[in-house]
Amino acid sequence: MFEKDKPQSERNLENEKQEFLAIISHELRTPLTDIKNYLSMILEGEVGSVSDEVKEYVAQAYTANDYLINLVGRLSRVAKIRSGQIKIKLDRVNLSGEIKMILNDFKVPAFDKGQSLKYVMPEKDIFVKADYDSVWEIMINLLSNAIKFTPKGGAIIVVLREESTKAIVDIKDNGPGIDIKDKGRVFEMFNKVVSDRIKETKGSGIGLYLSRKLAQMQNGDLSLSYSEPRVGSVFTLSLPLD
Amino acid sequence: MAKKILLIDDDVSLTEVYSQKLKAKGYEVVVSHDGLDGLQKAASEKPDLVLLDIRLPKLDGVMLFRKMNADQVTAKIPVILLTNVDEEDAVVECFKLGAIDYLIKSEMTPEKVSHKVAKFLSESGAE
Repeated sequence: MFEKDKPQSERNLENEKQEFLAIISHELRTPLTDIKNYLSMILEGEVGSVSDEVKEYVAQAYTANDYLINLVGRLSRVAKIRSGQIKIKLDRVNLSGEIKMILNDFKVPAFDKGQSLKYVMPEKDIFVKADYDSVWEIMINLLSNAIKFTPKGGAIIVVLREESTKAIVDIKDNGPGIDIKDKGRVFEMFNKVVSDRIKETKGSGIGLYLSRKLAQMQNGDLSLSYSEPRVGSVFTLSLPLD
Repeated sequence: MAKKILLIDDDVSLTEVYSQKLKAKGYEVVVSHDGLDGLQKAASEKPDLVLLDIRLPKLDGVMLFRKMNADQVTAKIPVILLTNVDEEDAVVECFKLGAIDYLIKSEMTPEKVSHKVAKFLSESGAE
């Protein structure tokens, strides 16, 4: 259903939700940033020396606070997307080149987990009509997830191909997979399906929701094209060819 | 002589920790918590660098920057922006006005900020 087709009361409620989300994310950011600054001053020894045990506790608090800052940032993005404030600038983007660069940034985290990270793509570069920043945001989110959920020694493969008028990017991982009955819900924000994975990995439960929205805003899509428990998943991003 | 940094931000906690860190690194730090006061201090203190927040009471950061540019006394003072992640439009506007860099506050620590300041001042030959 389009926004304009919803009854007035439902639209008002939705607007209030967006406003609430925007205010909450803005109001949380400042104190969280302050906490980060104070904690880092302690860790840097700027306010006197502390024992290793205290330092360890402060470091844990710093990490937890950084998680919250990241969560607030994502909530803010969601609020902006829902209220139509995110600007998409469609340009001719060399998807092959960008994917190689993005993968380069993930070499170290994959190596650290003993994972193999490979790509398969045609020799000829594939160009899409897309928003450069959004493509990076989506790919970073998908690859972060793949690395996070794939166990040590597993494999992640990115396959780029053309299909009719679209460029297709498959991100295959060796993660725990998702049960078939839950597949449709992985793109919902804070859905129950991923809640257990979130607990395990400290994810935010927003990344896939955001990524799909961004893909759709570029006339593309993001789907879970394959998933099997204990085998792995394939997330598929499609973008219009240019 | 110690280089002078003007720190303009309405978040008192942030200015407290940033200024403590910058002072520890040997800088003289002047703090302002609103746009009008910040503009006056830019003219009276003639700092070597301004760290400027975007959302400020009385006069926002973009307007303050415009007014600095319009005044011969402050026009050449370098400005680094202190921003939040959702202020892209203001950042673009400030780059047009001549901002040399921007720092997203939630991604910074006092140590990183002092590194940025030192890097800029040494590259610009001011240190």
